[in-house]
Amino acid sequence: MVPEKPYAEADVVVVGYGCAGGAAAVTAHDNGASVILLEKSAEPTPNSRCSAGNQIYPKDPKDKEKFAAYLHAVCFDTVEREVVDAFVDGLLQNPDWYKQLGGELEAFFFPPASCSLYIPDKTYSGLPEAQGLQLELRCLKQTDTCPEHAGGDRVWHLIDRKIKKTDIKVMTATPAKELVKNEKGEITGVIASVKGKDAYIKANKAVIMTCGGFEFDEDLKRDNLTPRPIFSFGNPDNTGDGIRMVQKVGAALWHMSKQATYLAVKVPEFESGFVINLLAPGFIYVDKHAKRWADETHIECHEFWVPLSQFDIEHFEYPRVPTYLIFDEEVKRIGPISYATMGYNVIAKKYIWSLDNSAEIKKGWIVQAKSIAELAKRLGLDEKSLEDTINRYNKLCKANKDEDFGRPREMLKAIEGPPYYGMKLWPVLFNTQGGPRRDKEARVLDPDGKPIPRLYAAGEFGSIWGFLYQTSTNFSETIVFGRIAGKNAAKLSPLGS
Amino acid sequence: MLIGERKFIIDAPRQRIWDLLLRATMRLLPFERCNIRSQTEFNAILKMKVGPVTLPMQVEMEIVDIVPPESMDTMLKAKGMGGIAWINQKSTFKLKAIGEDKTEVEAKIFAEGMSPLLKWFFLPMVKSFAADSYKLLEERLKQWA
Repeated sequence: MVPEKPYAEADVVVVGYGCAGGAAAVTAHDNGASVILLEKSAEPTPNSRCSAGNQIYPKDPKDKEKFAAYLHAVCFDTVEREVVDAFVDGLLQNPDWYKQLGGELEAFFFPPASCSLYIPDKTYSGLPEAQGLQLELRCLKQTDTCPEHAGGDRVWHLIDRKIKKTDIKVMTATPAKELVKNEKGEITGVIASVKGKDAYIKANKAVIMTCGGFEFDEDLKRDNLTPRPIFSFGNPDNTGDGIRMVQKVGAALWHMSKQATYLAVKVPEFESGFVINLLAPGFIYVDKHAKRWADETHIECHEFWVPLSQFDIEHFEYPRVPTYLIFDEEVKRIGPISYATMGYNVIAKKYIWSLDNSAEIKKGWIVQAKSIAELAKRLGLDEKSLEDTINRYNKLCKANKDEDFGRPREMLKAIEGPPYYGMKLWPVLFNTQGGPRRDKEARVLDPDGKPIPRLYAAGEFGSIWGFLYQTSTNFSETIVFGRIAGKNAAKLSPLGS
Repeated sequence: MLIGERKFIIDAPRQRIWDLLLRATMRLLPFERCNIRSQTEFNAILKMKVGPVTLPMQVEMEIVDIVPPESMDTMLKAKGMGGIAWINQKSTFKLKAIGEDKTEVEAKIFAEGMSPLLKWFFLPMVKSFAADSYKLLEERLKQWA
């Protein structure tokens, strides 16, 4: 039922002010459309803004076809090749788009000497399609006009500065609640909560949904994701509202069980987790039984959910959730063990982790102990098992060969103490991938594969990445599909014409 | 002013040495309280041993030029003792492939500026510190490669 009188109207209504929503709004505007941009949070802090903001490119643009074939292989038939092709086409145009906004991309070398954040340029180098393909991470260059520290924050502000120069109407603290569909099945706008009252925001051409993932929706996570529990590094307003909205108008969902997940410290004082970044190698991860479970330095940092999802059927538990980080004095002293420029707690809450971790020890977030036995006791681990594990690991370091998990020589460093340090780490979502299925035009599809008229989606909200995750494609996708959606929405004829 | 240099050959391909180089240089010096400011810059505390004395220095380090997998230049500015002791130094690393399986590493440190205190009283010790650091770099790279 279409309400009679709109509270506000524009050609294009964009729901969600992240980088995808911003790119969609700017592009629709630049293609002649009037735009209203709705944002649930009072201060927009989308996951794209909280992220590293890295983007992946083929080193040689001539490798476009090869790159698309590789990405399609990574997706393992969960997305049509033409959608991947549209992504690659758009990706190669992104640098010009940034330039129009006053930004410039540069090569990214990730990050100085981290021993825990493992991000190879080419995540799945073993794929046949990866052979001979060279990739490069890029980020928006930090300049006087783009001064922000974090890459994602930098891009979001670049877009925001552009939006402020236009007549795009940004309505913050205005959560969308429902999509409005007319008798022809066209989407004509949204019902949003404006100052606590329902208001019809009419879209004369189209609605673009860019409202993020469901990182803070416990039901959707329980039904779709492993392991459990699983937290997020991002915005607590990502509660999956948009997914329910598009389901009600008949959208098909895809990629609901896929995610980009790392490890983080989660403390009760903060809704979001602090992602870890260890600058020295004197550390290991152990499971609930105090056993090491991997080469800790070479788990691709978006794919932690894969090893963490190992389920022990006999004991009916995820033995690696939580995982316990055990480390030595060098790790404690060399720098903050949480990543200083990324995540909601840093960007929105302005939390500054102490440079030598001492403040977090005082808070009890990190356990400091005079012996391994004391550390085990305070972490709730079996003392003998933890002692055996650390002794074994230290012996492997002395032999300069990790026979258990193949940790490389340069990453082998005995855990020396006392003191010893430890903390619980939890799976933490960078983002979910699930949401409405979309086509290469960014149109939202119904279960028969037909576009729902005048409804588009972009970004993390129904990401195209449906199996494993190639590093730095989510951020790239926000801009690519935001632009595609904005352009196509602006091209439509107005309702009733 | 050149204050240290070392050239050595490692039995490993250039790409492998390149992959290890940044990690090795970061761990060459006992940095503490590292604050990573961007992908190429950090500041930290460095407890620099100059002879029998340990000087806590405030350090700013920046990768000023990087050409993978051939060369990397870093700029390090260190100051301590309330600003009386300071040094600005540039380090250059050049990797030259020798066939497929060997790499020549050439490392140099230049002092681009130095406080009178360091120059007049501690220069030999600064040079010795640089020489020890490069020896350690060679050992580490050989061990890891």
